[in-house]
Amino acid sequence: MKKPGPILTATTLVIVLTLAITGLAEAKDPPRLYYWSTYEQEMFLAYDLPDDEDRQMKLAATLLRIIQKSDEAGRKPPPGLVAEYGYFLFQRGEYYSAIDHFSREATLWPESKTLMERMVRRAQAEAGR
Amino acid sequence: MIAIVRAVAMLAILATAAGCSFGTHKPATYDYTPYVANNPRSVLVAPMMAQSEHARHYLATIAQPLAERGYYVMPIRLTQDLLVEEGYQERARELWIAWRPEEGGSHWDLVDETKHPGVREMAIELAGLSSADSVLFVFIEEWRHQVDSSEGYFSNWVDAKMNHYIDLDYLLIGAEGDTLWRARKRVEYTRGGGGFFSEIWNAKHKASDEEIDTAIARDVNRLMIEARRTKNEMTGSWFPGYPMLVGPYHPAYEADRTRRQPGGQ
Repeated sequence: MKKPGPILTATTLVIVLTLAITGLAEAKDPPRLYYWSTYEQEMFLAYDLPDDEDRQMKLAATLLRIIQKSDEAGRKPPPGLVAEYGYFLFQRGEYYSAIDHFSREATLWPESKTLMERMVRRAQAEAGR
Repeated sequence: MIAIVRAVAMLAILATAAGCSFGTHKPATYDYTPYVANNPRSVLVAPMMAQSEHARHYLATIAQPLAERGYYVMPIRLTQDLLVEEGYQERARELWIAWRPEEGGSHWDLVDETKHPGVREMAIELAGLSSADSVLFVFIEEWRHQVDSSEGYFSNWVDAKMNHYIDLDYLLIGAEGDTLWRARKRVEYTRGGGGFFSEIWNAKHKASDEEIDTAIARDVNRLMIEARRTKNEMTGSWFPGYPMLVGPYHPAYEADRTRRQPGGQ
């Protein structure tokens, strides 16, 4: 059997070690603070075609799933996501459910209090019409 | 024997080169004092300073890295709609158009608040509107795809090599108008072609331009916000960078803050 030539051996070694070095240099992803599921993909699809009703509904469903899964696991849902889902409800005319979500966001994240109070006032005004 | 010596020598050179390019040496010249003093807990993402399609792709990817950096991120979809209603998107667009390079403006000036107070004023107003502690502006100066069919063993039938050029400015302004952090990077990103393995890998799924844009945006965010090398290939542009400081919901918050205090490391 013919032995591999020295250049071939060296090349193979270089390739293997390059892969190893590159792999080692990649910083390992630290554990995530929040559960995101497919948020980015759905957000992208919804933003890509804002008039596509199906895509908006899928984003809303994803937000709800993230909130529910986070709750089940006893983790905080990602910042802003309860409010985003509340905003979907607001746009659909479900003002009282929307108010519940805006209030929950403000409780979970005190940083959102002013903005959420503003959204609650808007939803109350719409509901009172 | 000669072959082994040659291989070891090549490996040594390779390891040295890899060590240099992937190293995490940071020049200690960035002044984080205003950032530490402002100590923002929350971030509002301002309307994008960019062409609309890139803005949309970008907005989809910005909340997650900011939240994972430890900040409260004002709900993106809700606030962007609110800012459209309040006329801020239009104002951002006007600011953007006013400084297009072809019209004699410089984008570097655009993020220099001493030369163009418009951005700073807008940040103060946006922070007031939402009670955010800080406002993040992202300016996309260039976002260009270019097909390179000259390379790639199977470029005709698998996946043509594409070069992507992205030039971004990030500017974080505090609620009272202080510039807390800024980062600018031109990134070149190659996908497809270029090598046997990458072509086989890429052939599994031919991504649409929108998917590529989103993947790039995700990578660039990681590069800029965390100053971390990304998994995908970015050529000739890796830099140590100055990351955003970690926010209050991040486990490393106290340690990071202490380290950045004047007199700290």
